[in-house]
Amino acid sequence: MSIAYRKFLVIGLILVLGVVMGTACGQKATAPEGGEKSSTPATGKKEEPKADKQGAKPVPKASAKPLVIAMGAEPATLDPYADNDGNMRNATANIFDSLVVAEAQSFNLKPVLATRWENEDPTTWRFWLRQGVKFHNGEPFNADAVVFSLKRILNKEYNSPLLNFFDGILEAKAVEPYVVDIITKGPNPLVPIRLSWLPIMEPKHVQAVGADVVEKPIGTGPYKFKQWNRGTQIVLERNEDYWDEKPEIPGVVVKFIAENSTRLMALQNNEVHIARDMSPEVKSQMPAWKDISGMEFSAIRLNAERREMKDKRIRQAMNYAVNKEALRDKLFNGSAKITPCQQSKSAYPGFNPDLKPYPFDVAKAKQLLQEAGYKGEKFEFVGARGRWLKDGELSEAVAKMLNDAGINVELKIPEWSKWVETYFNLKNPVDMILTSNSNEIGDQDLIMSKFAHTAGRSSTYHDDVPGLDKIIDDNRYELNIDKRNQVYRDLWAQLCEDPPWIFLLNPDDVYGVDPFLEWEPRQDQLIFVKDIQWKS
Amino acid sequence: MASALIVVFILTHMVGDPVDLLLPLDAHQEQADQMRIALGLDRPLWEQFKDFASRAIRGDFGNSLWQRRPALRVALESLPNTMKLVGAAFLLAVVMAVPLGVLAAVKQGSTLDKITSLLALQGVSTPPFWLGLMLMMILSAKLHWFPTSGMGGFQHLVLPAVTLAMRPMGRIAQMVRSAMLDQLGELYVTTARAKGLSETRVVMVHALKNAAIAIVTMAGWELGRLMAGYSAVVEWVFSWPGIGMMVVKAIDNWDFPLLQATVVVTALTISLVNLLVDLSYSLFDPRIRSEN
Repeated sequence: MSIAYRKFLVIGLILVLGVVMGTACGQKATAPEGGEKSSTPATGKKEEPKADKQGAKPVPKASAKPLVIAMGAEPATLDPYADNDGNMRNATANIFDSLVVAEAQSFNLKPVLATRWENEDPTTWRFWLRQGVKFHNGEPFNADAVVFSLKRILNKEYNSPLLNFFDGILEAKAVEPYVVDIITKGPNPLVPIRLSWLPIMEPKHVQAVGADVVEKPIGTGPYKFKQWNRGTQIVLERNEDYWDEKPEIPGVVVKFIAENSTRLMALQNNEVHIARDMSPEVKSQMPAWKDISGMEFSAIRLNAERREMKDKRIRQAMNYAVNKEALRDKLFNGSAKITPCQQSKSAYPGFNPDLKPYPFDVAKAKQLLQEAGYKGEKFEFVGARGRWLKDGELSEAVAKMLNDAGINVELKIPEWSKWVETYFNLKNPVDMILTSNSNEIGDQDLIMSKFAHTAGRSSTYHDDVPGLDKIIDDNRYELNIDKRNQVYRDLWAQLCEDPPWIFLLNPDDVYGVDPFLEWEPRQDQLIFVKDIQWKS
Repeated sequence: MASALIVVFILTHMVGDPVDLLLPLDAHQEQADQMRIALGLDRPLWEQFKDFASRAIRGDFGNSLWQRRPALRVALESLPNTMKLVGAAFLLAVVMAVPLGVLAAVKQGSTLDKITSLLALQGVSTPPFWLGLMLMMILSAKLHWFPTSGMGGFQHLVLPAVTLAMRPMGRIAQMVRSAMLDQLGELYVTTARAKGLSETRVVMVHALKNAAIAIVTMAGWELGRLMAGYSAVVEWVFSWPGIGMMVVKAIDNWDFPLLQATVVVTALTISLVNLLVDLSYSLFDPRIRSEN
């Protein structure tokens, strides 16, 4: 028995080792090498890029390589309504088309699946659709697809995180096969820009695959979904039947590389052509880079209702005390804009061009504090770390600057769940909390309703600043765009003079890029591969 | 088992309101309410626990909140990737450590011994995070020999496996050396030499076999540690889609079903490794073999 047992054990151990080695080596043959054309990855990686660098041989159009995009996190899903995730959109923005799309650096709209649109009556927007467009599965695109898609995203039970981009939209009605009406609760001036966030899905396919829609996306876009190697990459291939001009780049590989240094080195090793979310300090180490002013605005929310802070001079003093230039230049290596006394920038409708950032002026700050009778009362400041670019350093630097100006600020940086709890706790609001707000549809109402209206989930105000709630509510449904924007300009002027926040920075998005790529980043971070070319 | 379930349940429900963490910061109140109902977080805590425990015992951890697929499936999908990496690293560690350790013991005090000790110490004390990035910087970014990250062919395995192997290699080499030194001082070794056996046979057959139990125990322990923790850092650096990476992502995404599933799967794997190690003792020590 003992010998037989022993033999059995030896064979067992050998088998286990064999399986381990087998899987390790066996992978070689079956590995999907989405990113490289050559059969041997090593030589492919070494030689292809060299040919590029010397510029001796322009990349022939026919053999153009697939584009590799690297990002920090793997998306959870490819169902474009299930997440509000910029990483997911690296894939889905190329698989799906929307009715309209915003220009790269503004909110002016361009037609995509809709050819034109107009306001029929105050609560109806009419869209004329492009004809002859087919989904990747061969089904035709028409008004029914739009009706279905809108119904799906508005479904309360489905609970899409994108729901707040569709505020006030009730339903879509097919008027004719290629004409669709969007019905809204009240007048809704931003319906077209809201619909740019609605990728059109194929009704029959979505119903047929059920929960599998997460890994089986079917759209009308320039690229078709090919495969998803969980944990590693998503691969797309060109849609040869695309309704618009056929894209030059034959495929897209979206890679997930969590560690920032690894993403940088993958770029240096020519494994990736666009690396997202790069830190500004590593610009000099990248073969090439591009940056663009982003959509995030960092600010410190102040509890304007706390006894000592009720006096606006204290809050003004805080704004004077922060050296925004130093933060921009030292902390962000210049890759940020100073927020011009409003959580908005010139690309946004309703931006007030007359407002200037509070200058850095400690003497003025001290004078205001004295006038307000500030006696060194302590303010609790909740910072954040690891959530937004350089949030920890930003918290610490600002706390130091405030202390230097004689404001008694005590900084605490809790872990994220505690931060979230503090952020939403309006019954007993914290004195100061670092926030970063984004505004993807360029609607000032998004910021106003959430942060200045007393009903906002994370508002500064608990008691109404006289008239503020009403102005915000009324203006939300104002159809006259010029009038609407003027009200926002006035509101920003008011909120700049009596600031509920310390206005900080609007950091740039920094991308590492292959120098042989012709591509311009967009402020909404979408990467449309059909518009990209290899330089010849 | 019951206490383990209670601990897991309490820990994962202590993080604050998961709904606020899972939704975007600018979500509406009604979205939050809807999600709370969908996740069953509106029910009494006791009911939530009853439900969780009865399903967990049957291996059902519910859907991963982040990936919206069964958490156990997500965890099991990534397990083979970790085994592949850990297997390669472990094999590399043993193949390097055993000969080095034996030679160092035989030639105690020689330059070779000193180099081995230095290497072992270096292996044990170099943080894998740093080592991984250094290897990547030199061999990938500068020399373009290996891909930086991801999983694919054998090429992709080299850097993470070498990085991961360094620590167990160092510790096993130290262990082999000291175990061999112990054995070489024993009387039976002197006897064997006196009988005129060749030195190779004395070392490789008599002494090494007796040192094997200590070495296997140490190696088995290292294997468990590779599975349970060291691999997570290396997987993160090299974007290797293993279960350690999955744990980090589960924590990042406040995905408690996935965290529960990954922890249980990892624990079971380690138990299995330990069982194999215990069973293998009988190969080296006849006294442990079954009398039957």
